[in-house]
Amino acid sequence: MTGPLDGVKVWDASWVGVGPLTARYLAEYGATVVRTESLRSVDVLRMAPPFTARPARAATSPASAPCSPP
Amino acid sequence: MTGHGGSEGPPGRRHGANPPGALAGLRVLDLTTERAWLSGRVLADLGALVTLVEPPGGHPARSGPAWLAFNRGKRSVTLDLRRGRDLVLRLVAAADVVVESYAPGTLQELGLGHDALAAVNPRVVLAGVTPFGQTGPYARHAAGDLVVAATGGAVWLSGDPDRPPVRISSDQYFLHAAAEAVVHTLVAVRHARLTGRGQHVDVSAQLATIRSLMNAVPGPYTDGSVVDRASFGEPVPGLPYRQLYACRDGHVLATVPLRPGPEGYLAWLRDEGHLTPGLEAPAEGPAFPELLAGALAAYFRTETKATLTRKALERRLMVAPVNTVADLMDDEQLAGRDYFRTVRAGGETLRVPGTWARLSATPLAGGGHVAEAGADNETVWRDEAGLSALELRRHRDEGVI
Repeated sequence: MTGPLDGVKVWDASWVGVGPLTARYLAEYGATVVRTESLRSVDVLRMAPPFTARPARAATSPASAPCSPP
Repeated sequence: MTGHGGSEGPPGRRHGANPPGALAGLRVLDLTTERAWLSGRVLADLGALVTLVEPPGGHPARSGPAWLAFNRGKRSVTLDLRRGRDLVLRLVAAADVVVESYAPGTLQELGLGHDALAAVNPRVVLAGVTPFGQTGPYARHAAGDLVVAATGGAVWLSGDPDRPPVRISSDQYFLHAAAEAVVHTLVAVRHARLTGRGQHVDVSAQLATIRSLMNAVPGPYTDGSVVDRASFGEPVPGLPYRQLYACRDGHVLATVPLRPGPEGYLAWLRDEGHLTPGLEAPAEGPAFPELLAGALAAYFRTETKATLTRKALERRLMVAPVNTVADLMDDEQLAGRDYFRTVRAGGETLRVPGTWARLSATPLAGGGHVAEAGADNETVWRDEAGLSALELRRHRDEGVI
């Protein structure tokens, strides 16, 4: 994928909704977004619907927070 | 063209001592209606040179408070868009960005669609903020904020679950769209700088509304969950719950979180002598949330918003005053962040809301300056658009400027 933010690298150290949404904008425009999460303090949205029934699917898309709107 | 005609520098800079903003040098032509005044305001705060185009004689909404909120920090020129196409194009030639919020098709009818703008300036980014975007079956729908809120799902999700949905009290969905427009416009500006090509940024307020609904939207097509109106939530054992409580001078909202749980609230009630017998046992039975809510209601009734807020702050509990707008003017957090600014407008000094973020190296401008209608006509039309004094006078006499 190419976009205006190709080559921009983003460390997404946020959680829940607001931060991941910010990084999502950047990802949509081509930035490489790497999201880090804590195994000890798991993002509460991993436990919240939607996706509660499908944790494996959520785990395969770490750069896109489950709460992010389309 | 420097765009900084005159000796005082561009308006919107406070005292002239601040470092240039992050967008210093970016030139924005603001053709918006009130729906997207915010876009130019944000760009101006970030340091862009924003020129607002008003009808000759000034915009009819100038006297209202929204004008100060959204149009300070902008330069003002006057122009009748229907008779001044050539003049608009002169400004477009020197602009990086044009923002507009007319109904879809309006600019094309004036010969000012993206193609016409690109013909005089291929790098220009044209951003349009509309209720439903430029295309689709609703594109020409008669729409205000409520139509956008309703079609975007926000009305359905607002209110109490056992009652019909309600409108959120102040118009805001075009503000979401105007802010969204800034994000996409700045990405398009970056693209234009990389490639030499501008583009049309088509922002739909309905889609901006949907963006604001968070995980209500992916639910139905992921795990099938549907988010309904939840208001402040019902107290359910084992879940965080939120409730509105009356206090001496208004209301507070209290959230009892899932983690660390209700212990902080129980300690507070104990210290205040309001712990009821049923709450002393550590086990959380099914009646617990209601007992806790009842005890909190009895205690909160005896205190003011300010006292409860201070105590909650000390205890790090999620209790918030339901601030009135008047409360905001006295809010210690806002005061602590130096939020309110003073502006001079029409010979008066007014206290107005300030900037929305802090940038450590390039502070937001805040826009202390409210330009009179057409205050920048000389600078812009003569020095930047290249009109002769004679032409300028003729356009004025004919009511075009």
